[in-house]
Amino acid sequence: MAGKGLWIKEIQAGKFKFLIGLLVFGVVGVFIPLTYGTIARLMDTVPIPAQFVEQAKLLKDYGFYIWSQWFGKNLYQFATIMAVIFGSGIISTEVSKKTIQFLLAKPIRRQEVFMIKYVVNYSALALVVIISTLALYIAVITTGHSFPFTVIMQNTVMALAGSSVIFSTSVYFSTVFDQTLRSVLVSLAVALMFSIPGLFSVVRDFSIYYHMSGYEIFIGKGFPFIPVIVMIIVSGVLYQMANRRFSRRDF
Amino acid sequence: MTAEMAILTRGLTKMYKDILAVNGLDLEVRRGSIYGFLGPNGAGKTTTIKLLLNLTYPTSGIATVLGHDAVTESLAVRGRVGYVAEEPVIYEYMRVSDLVDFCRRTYTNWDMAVAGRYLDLFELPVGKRVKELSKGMKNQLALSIALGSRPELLILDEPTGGLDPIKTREFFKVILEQVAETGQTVFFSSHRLYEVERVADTVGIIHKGRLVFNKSLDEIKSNLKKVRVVFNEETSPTGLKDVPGVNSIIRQGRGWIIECDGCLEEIKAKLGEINPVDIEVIDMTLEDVFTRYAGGVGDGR
Repeated sequence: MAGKGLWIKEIQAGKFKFLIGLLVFGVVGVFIPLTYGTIARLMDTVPIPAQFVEQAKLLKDYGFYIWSQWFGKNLYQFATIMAVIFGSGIISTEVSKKTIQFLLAKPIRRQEVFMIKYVVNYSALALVVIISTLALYIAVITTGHSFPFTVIMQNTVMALAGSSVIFSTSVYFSTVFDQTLRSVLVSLAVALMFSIPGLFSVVRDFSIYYHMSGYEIFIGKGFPFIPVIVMIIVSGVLYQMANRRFSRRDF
Repeated sequence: MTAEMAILTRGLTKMYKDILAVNGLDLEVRRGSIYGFLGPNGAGKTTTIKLLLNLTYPTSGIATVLGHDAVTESLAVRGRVGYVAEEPVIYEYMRVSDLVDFCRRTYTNWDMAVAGRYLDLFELPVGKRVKELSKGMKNQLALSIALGSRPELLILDEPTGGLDPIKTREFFKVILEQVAETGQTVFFSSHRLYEVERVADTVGIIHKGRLVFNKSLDEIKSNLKKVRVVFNEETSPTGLKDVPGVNSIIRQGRGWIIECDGCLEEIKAKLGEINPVDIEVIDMTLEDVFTRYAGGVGDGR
């Protein structure tokens, strides 16, 4: 009961971030299928350097084009940035704006405050990812093409699992730093570090972004259950660490 | 003992790294009282309040608020306490009505009629955003919200900082009326002596994290006296320093000032034996008390 007001407050507070995220993601999602024809025509008319001929051929394949432009690039890059933006401020903004005392003097448990903030902000991020991917799928259908819906769903799950790790990392730093900007910068630096394993094929399996792109699903190796489970567990551990830190610190 | 106390602390201590903010505080605030918590800046007033509301964890010691442990039963405490922070920072982007709605959903004992009464009294524009309100209006809004939860204990941390004298008077008038009507306990911190003297019935002075003085205003008026005594010859009343209740004996020009607590008649009798030229008894003011116990760095009058 006591937390009901906080659910509504958090939704109100996050609505602009959500709408802006949805607008950006949605436009990019719709734009990709709509521009396929133009890209394909360009491939035929513009002379392509020899070293890019193979990639150009691949891009002319509609399925590869949609996967590479959305799941393999834009979605996980935007989702990472959005995860940092949504996660980095959930506690630090309350501290830097000095509203934390007003909030914590209310009869709501700190754990509940944390849980509500986490759930509302991650849900907003997840909704942006899901709605914009659905917008992409609708654009695919309406332009007379097709793309397997199961691949769309499985890739979306990968993007959500990966972004939950980035989001939880940002939330943790939000409980460490009192300035939101500092929390954002450190979270971005850590998110950048997460990309390092992806640069080396030997340790590529340890890269969040490799899994977020859903490459293994696209090449038909099946749904990678183990990486999803690992990412969910890592997110859970980060949640607990952040929650514990928030519940025990002085304000 | 706990039942009749709205606030009870024993050995309450808070250490921030190497700074001792609250140092073994033993505080007792009776239910139904208006307790003025005085102290110079940095004395530990705000930290004490944060400890009572579990915004900060104690390093050692215990605090009970309305019979509940401030740490382990913090939720029960916060449900029964209204709090107005020093320069209350409320969600600026919210409309006043949204904020009231947020609080209504947060407190189980919320009384919309009470909150509405104070919003009307202060003529607060419910459709405006908090950021559009003046500082005084924000204080009034914070008080209206605090009272709307029908708290058994109202904790105010320097509630009138930055308010002009008229707004300050209005602010305390509301509190006094509310207390008269409901019998709530009010615990408010301040470094403005005139404010405390006008409103409080009991005064505590905190200095360097310790409670160095705790008395009712009636006790201060009836017991704490300054005796100004002048002698013809080089006579000194320093022999009186052993009389129980004598706090200090200070030379002032040709005379002496003896500060005493509840021992006026004995002092008079002893002075009579050493033939003073003049004896004058002066009531000690809160400013005198503050100067003596906290080094006199309050805002005075």
